[in-house]
Amino acid sequence: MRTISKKIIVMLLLITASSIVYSQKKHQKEVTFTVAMDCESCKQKIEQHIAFEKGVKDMEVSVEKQQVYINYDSRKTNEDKLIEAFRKINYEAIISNSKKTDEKEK
Amino acid sequence: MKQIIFYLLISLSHGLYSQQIKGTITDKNGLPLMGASILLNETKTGAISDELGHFTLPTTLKKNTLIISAVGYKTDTSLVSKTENAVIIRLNEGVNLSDLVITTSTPGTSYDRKSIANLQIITSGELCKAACCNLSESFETNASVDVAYSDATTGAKQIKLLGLAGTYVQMLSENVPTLRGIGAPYGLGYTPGPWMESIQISKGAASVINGYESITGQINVEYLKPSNSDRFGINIFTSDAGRVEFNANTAIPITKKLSTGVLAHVEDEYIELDMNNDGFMDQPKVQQQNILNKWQYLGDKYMLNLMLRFLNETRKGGQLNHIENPYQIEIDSKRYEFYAKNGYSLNNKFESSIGVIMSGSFHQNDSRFGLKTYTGEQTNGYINLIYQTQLHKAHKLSTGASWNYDKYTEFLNGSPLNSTESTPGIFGEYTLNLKDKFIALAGIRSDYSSVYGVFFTPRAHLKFVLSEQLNFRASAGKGYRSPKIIAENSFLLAGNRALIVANNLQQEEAWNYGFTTSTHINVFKRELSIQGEYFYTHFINQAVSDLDTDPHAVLITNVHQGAYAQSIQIEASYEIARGWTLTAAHRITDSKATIQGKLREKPLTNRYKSLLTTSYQTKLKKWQVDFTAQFNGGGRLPDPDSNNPKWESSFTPYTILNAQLTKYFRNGSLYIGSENLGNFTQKNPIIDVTNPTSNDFDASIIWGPVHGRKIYAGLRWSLAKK
Repeated sequence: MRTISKKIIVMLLLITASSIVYSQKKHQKEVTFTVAMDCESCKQKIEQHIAFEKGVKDMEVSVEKQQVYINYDSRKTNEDKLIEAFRKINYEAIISNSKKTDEKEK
Repeated sequence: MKQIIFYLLISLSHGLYSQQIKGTITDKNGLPLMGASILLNETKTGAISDELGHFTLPTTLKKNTLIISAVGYKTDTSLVSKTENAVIIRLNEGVNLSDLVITTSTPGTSYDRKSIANLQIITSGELCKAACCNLSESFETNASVDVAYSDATTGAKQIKLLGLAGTYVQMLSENVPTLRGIGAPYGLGYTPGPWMESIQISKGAASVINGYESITGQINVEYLKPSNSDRFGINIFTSDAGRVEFNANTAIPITKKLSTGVLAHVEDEYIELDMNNDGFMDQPKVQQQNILNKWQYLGDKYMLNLMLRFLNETRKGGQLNHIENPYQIEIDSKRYEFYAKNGYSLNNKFESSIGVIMSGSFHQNDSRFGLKTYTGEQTNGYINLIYQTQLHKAHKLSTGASWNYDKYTEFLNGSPLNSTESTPGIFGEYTLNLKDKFIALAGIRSDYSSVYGVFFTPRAHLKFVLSEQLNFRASAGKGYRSPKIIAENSFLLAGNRALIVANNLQQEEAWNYGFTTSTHINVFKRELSIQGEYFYTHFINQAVSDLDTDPHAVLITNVHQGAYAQSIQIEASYEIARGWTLTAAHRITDSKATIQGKLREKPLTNRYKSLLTTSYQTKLKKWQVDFTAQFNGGGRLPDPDSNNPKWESSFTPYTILNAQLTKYFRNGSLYIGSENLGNFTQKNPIIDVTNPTSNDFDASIIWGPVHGRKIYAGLRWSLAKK
């Protein structure tokens, strides 16, 4: 009996945990911008500023590919807001491909 | 996937009325493609895409055929109607590139793969990994450069590269020779960490363009540049060793081409610190005011970099104030320095350019070590004219002339030691570059010293790039130095060891040979870099400091044969997981000098050094943790007095640990860290410390840290460039 109840508790815990992860994942979106940058310090500047934008969960900047990949929480920000954030630090960002486009905004 | 994909974007606004086609050329991933040529077939007009891949073509036709071509891509034809105002055209690659390595973070220290020489670059990111109050503390995470105390009292530090003293390294600031002579002993403290944009360490024979003085290598410091640095920045630093520091930097654009910037630094070590209770300060109380003003003019054909700097420093060390009749050390330094670097582009098809570098400095040192005194003044003037031309894609030629002037006015315990040296010279350097696969560089210079006569400096480099993963470098070259014993080693006056300098010391002369191989391989989709190197320095003539023959004196004499230093180093760096990098290095040093006719191991030199440095950054780089462990090998100590030995004959290996935590904000960062976490110190760094009047009182037997664990914290804040 004890072992069964233990197993049930563990399973319940796993289900709740995974649903939390799922609900978080549900709002996570990915976008890749094409941004013209020509140096390491541009990369640093973009990393420094965009990382502190609301809703940004993850990012990778590649000078070589001229791309910025951003993973964000769609409840807190959207692509337009991110483009605006780039504009504030004088970078023009063009969406090059959005990976998770199945979910509509709003 | 060889077909050509293109799609059109229709702008809703003024598309119908536009008299031109606007568009963007990208690769298949949507990345802008620069330099693609776009031909409008109907009108035979053309355009080239800019760095954003944009182009504009005038047209009045309804249907337009665009032919787009770019190197490395399949040529594409695209029908565009005039109403389509913004077109995006994707080009497919003509050549399949192998799968790229996933994006990895740039290590703060990297070896330049393009450079022909063994060139290591330390970026400002790396400098932020440790306290880096000044240049002397910038090499804590670096395996190649050791920084050691010159003596136990003055706080003077010197670099050791390839097993040899820092005097054999040519110091440059923005590629202008600096900190020679009187400025050398305390010079590493004259460049504040927050001023530096990057440091380049070049090991082995260097280019002949910057002179004949580099023997083991060059260390160049690039300061923040007004044209591309933050508008305003500050840095505040404090440590439990009683040190406060304030740095400020600003960059002001005046016109589009002209900008100016000011770098300022103030430091104060206000505590008489004596952690080992020997009655002597572990480090002197240093007060420094340092200000630098830069002007940058970047025209189309003419460029100017102008630097003006003033430094004032006071060091007070020795016995604690409460001791009766204390042994005191006071060193006052003042330095005035300028340089002007002019570059003219002749804008011809050979990409020829002319560079004119002028620099000058006036350095004053006023020192007192107990009863001994030293005052010195050095005036330096330097001009270097360089003409560079690219005869052909594969052939580059640099040639020019230089002139260096040094005037020393010195008094040692009141007696004068004046000297002047004027050295004009000419040089030429030729580079053969076969498609970046094979590069050969050969340079020679001839100089005439008013003291030592005519001498030649040949230097050569070779580089083979076998594949993207593997390359080899070899170098050989000569270097010379005019020894200025007292000026460069004034710290030897601390303590009662007598300083005996041979008359008519000759110019130091040495050959350096080096071999380097580096490989970059993909291990689990991340790049593993391994670099192996071997360097051998052989002296034809060296001014050897002999601490062995007489335990109460240092004899500085000419040694014509035998002195050499060899070092072998292997270094590997790898990003273990995203944001987590690890560098491991090991170096073995074998440095020998002829002392009284016998070839002996150089004292106070570590036989090996291992370094382990690791850094972790969170996903968004908001937090960073750094940890460094230095395992320093043991070595020989100068011979103690055989009748009455006051110290051991060797020292044992020891470990130094450093750690730092950094929290980044949008406009700055906050950091806290510890140096020498393991609290390791050299016991009894000063011999016969309680008795500064005795014959045995000696501060030169120093091999380890005097100061134990140090905790520090700092803040950086900046206002980014608009």
